Amino acid sequence: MTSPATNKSAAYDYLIKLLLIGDSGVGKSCLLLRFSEDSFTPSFITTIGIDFKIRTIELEGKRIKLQIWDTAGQERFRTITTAYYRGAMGILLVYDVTDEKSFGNIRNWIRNIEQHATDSVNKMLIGNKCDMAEKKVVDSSRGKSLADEYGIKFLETSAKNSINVEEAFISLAKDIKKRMIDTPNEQPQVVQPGTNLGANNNKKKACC
Amino acid sequence: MFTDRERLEAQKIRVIKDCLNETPIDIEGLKRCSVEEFGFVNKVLRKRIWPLLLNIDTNNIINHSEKIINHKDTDQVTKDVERSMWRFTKGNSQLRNRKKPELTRIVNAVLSIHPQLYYFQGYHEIASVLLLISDESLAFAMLERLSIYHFNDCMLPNFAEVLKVLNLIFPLISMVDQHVYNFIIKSQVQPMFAISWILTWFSHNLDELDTAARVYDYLLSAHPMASIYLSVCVITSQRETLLNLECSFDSIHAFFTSNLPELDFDKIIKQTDSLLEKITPSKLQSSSKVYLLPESQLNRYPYDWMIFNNNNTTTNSKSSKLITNNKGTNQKRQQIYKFIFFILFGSISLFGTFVFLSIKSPNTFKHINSFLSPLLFNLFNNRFNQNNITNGETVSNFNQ
Repeated sequence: MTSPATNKSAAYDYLIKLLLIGDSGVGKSCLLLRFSEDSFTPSFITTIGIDFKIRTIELEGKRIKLQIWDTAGQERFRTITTAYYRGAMGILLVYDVTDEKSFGNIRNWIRNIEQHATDSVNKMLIGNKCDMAEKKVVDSSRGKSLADEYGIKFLETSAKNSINVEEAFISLAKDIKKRMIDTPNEQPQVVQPGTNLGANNNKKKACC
Repeated sequence: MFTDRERLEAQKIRVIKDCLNETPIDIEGLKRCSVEEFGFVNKVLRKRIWPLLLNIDTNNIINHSEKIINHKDTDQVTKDVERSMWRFTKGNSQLRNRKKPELTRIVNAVLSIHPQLYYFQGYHEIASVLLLISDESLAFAMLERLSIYHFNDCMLPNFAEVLKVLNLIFPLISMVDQHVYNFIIKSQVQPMFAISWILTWFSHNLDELDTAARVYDYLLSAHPMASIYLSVCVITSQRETLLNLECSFDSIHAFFTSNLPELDFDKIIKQTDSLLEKITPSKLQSSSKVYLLPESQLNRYPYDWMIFNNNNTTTNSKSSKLITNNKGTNQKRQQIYKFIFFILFGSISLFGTFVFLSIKSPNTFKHINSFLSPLLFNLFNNRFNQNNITNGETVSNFNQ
């Protein structure tokens, strides 16, 4: 991925790339739409392949451009989407609290991350659709203990009712900022304002 | 008063109807119509012509609902149908609610009848277009046909072949527009932005059913790899805007995955068709060194069912018998051509030798001539008769 140092509208200090993964239908695209445009539509369509949306936020006086990649959930698309893992600095693992299977598959998704993403990538577990209390089958405590097992943060969200969506993305962005900008020892290259974080060491692997 | 467009459309309808009124129906003429402005113009004509292009035996379509069983992708189909058809049924929830169960049935029926086919997200969008243009039964038959042939590579256990198809896009751009190609390569963008174009024949990316149907008019008539060519022509049609973008992976990916701008598909389809003629799919594969599997249905066009009328997918035995017959006929024909070539070449050589001898030594020639003449005469006569017989057999075989 190229550096946007020459970005025509470089109205940001840092660029952070995030990735949404999880089973089909858990609400990845809805979370993204809620976060990037603060809207929700029941007329949502299937994601085919991979796509991204942008939102610029301000963190401790710095403008952070979040580029959030959304992926198709169906397993056969993984050959394509895993190629995009390497460029990600943070990954949101999403399951549906009303769908036991999607929760069970989180372990597979984590295995995918271990195989294809950089080791230092920040992760977060998201249990979406928490507004549907009557249909909930995955208890919050189970989500929490799975997240603890992997040493990652956990939040239950609702893209529909806008619960915790903002918190999830911003908390992940903060952790990434802390890791890559505030403690640059971890980062071999000096991060200059306006640069694309991880542009050098997170070079995207050719996907085919 | 009629607008110019209405007048042109009426003219086009007349041309299409002429093709339909011929006996047998002029399929080649219809294919030409799919390239020309407006394609097949309206829903009524499309409903009639699409099954013809796929050679669907409309009188013998099976009752697909009876065939539905629980299959490996049932859950995924349910999820995808639930969030489908919004764009093409905008403002008409009644239609949407009526069509969704039909959509579920036709998709599940094809997947139940053909367990070797793997569902992919996007398949339901192809089915939606077929369903909204025709009816449930026709849509099922067309979907079945397309799944076994045009989209077969997308329905294998994994997407390896789809990746190859995507990897043909940039090499083809390099043959069309070097400037755009260099820009794209410099940006390091991957052809993934085009995956929904290929998987759904653009229906995932278009807002209007009419536009999607116009694209289908062409892709149903053309080589099954035409969607690659169409993708390239869509990209190059955006040349000016594209070259003004920031030359980066993300900006180009975003440009093509966001909703496509209003595209002049009539123009783009014409370009696509001439490109397909100029650089054939096999030439594209050999020059880009990206080879689809030899057994890929994309490499097997034209299909057996396209040659003869009145076969449908469910009566494959009949069509395969015909195709074997046809192959036999072709071989015989080739043998005959070879034979004729040798006879002609041989007689010219002999004639040359005679002429040479008659000039060099007229005496020897006289001697040889008196000996060979009756022999050659007999020989020619016999072979000529034999030829006639073989030809006669071929014709009768063909007629069977």
